[in-house]
This record gives sequence, C-alpha cells and structure tokens, in this order.
Amino acid sequence: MEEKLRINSEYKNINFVSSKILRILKELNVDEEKKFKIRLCVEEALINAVKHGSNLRPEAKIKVDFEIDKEQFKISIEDEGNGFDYEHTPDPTFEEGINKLTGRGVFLIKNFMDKVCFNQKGSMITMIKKLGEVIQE
Amino acid sequence: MKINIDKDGDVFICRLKGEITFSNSPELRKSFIKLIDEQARKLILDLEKVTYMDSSGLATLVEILQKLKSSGGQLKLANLQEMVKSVFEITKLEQMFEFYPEARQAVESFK
Repeated sequence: MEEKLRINSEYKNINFVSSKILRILKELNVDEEKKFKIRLCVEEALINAVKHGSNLRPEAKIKVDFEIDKEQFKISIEDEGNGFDYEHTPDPTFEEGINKLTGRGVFLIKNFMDKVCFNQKGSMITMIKKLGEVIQE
Repeated sequence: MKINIDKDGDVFICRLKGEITFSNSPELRKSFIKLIDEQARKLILDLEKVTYMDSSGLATLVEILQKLKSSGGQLKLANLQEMVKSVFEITKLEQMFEFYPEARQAVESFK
C-alpha cells in the first residue's frame, strides 16, 4: 500500500497522518511495540517539520509519502524549509544535553527506526522500519 | 489526559491517564507548575495508565523535575508501562528520575 499526502503545516494534521498509518498497521497485525515506535517517529518528524521546517506557518505544505507492506514501513516527510545540519545534532544523552528540554526527537527516531536518512539540505527525512513477517487476517 | 491527585500526608500522588503528547504537554506543564507554586514538594506521578509519551512529554517531566529540585522538592515516577519506560531508557533519562514499580512504594520512599 502506498499513499502520498500533502498536508498543511498544522499540528492537527499530525494526528491525521499518524492515525491513518496506525490503522493500516493494525490491519496488518503489526505488534504494539512496532506500532508505538512507528507512531512516535512519524509524529516527531512531523512536529519538526511543522515547528522548525515550516516555522509554524500553516500555509506551508508538508509532503508525506509512505509505503507499507508485510516486510516494511517506509515514510518520507519533506517540508519547505531550509533544512538542518542533521550530521551534527547534539547527543541529548551526553552531560550537556541531558538537562535540556529539546533535542530528543531526532535521537529517538534514529534509535527506534531501522534506517534513517536525510536529503542533502536536511529538509526531507526518510525512515524505514522492518515489520518482518506479519500475519494477514 | 486526565489527572487525579490524592494526598498522603505531604506527598502528592498524581495519577495520569491517557497519552502525553505535543498537544497536551503544555497543559500538563501548567498544572504541575501550579501545584509546585502552591508549595507541593513531594510529587509522585503514577503513569500506570499512560499509554504513550513523546519527546515533548519527556521535556515536560524534565522541566517539572528541575523546578521541583530547585525548590528543594522531589519527583518520583511509578508504574510505567514498558514502552513508555523504553523512551526514558533510550534517552538516558532513567538516570535523572527515580522509578518505582508501584505508587505505594514511591510513597514509602518519602517516609
């Protein structure tokens, strides 16, 4: 299954996207742990796109393309912003980062997904989570 | 997100129910900052019925912990569901918080 969504950069649309994905994962009997991790990563990436990529401009667009089959979940999220330096994001688990209130979203994504990559300027993230063999109903 | 608050002596036991996300974290933050401003110093968050937490939820709990510590108070977390706990473990925030399997044990630890 493939979907291409074009959403306005608004927080309310984050739930719209993640609910749609969770419904499909549920139909595929994906386990709770994988669903939790996928939801968290999708929502964290969308929060970044709305907050940082689009600077909270609701008229800005976000492209969300995802594919789900019994083997894997793959999603690309692209905003209209200038991107960020994804190779040098501070590690929030180090002493100087542990007390900070921000900077954990990308870290969680990198830990919960099987593969994460960005386009060169950092305005598009692609994430892959292996689903393995799931039982169709 | 629902919050039920019980008192056991000077210990506030806050039972949270639902999901802690980017959409309700500011509201949660406001409730706890108010509680601390009203002189609550010993807080337990019972997270048994919290099924999901994102990075803004983590940030809110870090902020509550910092505010309590700077006021001479303590925050203890109890009853975390496995997946919610994993978010603390991966971000190494488990080092910052005190965890208890049950709220009752967290209450005892204050005595």
